[in-house]
Amino acid sequence: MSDREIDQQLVERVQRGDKQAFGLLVSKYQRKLSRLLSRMIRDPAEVEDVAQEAFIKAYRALPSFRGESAFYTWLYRIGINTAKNYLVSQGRRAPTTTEIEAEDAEQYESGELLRDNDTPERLLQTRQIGETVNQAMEALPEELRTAIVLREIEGLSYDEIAAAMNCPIGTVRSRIFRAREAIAERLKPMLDIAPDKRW
Amino acid sequence: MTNEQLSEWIDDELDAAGCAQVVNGLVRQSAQRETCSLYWLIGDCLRGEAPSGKDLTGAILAALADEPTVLAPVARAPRVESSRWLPIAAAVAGVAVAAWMGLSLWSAPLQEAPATIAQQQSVTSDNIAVASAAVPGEPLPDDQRYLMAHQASAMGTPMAGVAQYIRSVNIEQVDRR
Repeated sequence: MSDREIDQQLVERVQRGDKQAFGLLVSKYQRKLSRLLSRMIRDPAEVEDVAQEAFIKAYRALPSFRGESAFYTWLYRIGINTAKNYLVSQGRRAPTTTEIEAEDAEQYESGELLRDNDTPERLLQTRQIGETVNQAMEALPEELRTAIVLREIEGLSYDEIAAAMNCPIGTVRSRIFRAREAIAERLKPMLDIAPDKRW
Repeated sequence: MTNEQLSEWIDDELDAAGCAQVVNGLVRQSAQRETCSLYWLIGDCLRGEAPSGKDLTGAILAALADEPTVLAPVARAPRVESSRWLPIAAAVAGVAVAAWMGLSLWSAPLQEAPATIAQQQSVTSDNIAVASAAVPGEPLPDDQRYLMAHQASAMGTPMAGVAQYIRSVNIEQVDRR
């Protein structure tokens, strides 16, 4: 199943009244949406508020979502409109649509603006997460590192990775999973969430 | 659901049945959702989408707790391949039924032996002759009047009932003149 089909499956679950499925969509797209919003709003706290508002608006509007466009494109449009309304309400100029287009959201470079304006605590956590991931990647065996890089950075399918690495597709599946597990083991202590804060 | 399946699901490498299984597991198990979030976070970090601030998921779901639950009509399921042929099959069946009925109507008189038809025709002619002969000065018997009145609707031919309309048209034309 494609990414779009998976999102559509989650959307349909939300439309049937499953809020946890919406939590999965939030978990999946919150960073991308925040990165998009950070190009319009410099203050990270405001970005968070606007992102949260955008997700809540999206939830309310989900009954009218029929899947004509991809969920993330639809969500980004809501995000941009929410950010514009927010800026107007604050008496600030909102960027024109030519400056930021929802369809181009995937193309944006990393959120430099956001990092420039982060609080020291957040900067530290961001840096720590980044460093931990990098260290975990360096510690990975070569074949695991190559497999996950080809998947996550190059965006290759398992078939393409199998061809590139000259190994069966089952091996690719296993290598990518083991790489993720190894990195996740290092990240878990940093992101340990209190049981009452879990969703 | 295993974490390996979850990893496959994130990479869009699972089939529909596997996806449904993973999604069912995710909505039920908090631990699986955390693992999933972690896998997404790893991917975002590797692509340079640095994590910023806190995880919004918990806060958003808490905010949505007071919201009325979204209930929308379920989107139409994609048509299965076989349903594409149903209209064609229905059309063919319709044509076949119409053809069968037409044939049975047309062939019913023909199935009878020519001699029988000739006999019937002669009998009908005789009756008409008798009826005609009986006409002058005397009213027809009830049964014959009924038959005369409903002659156009009689099942004598497959075109029964049509003749009266033809006659009506002729009458209209006569009236116009």
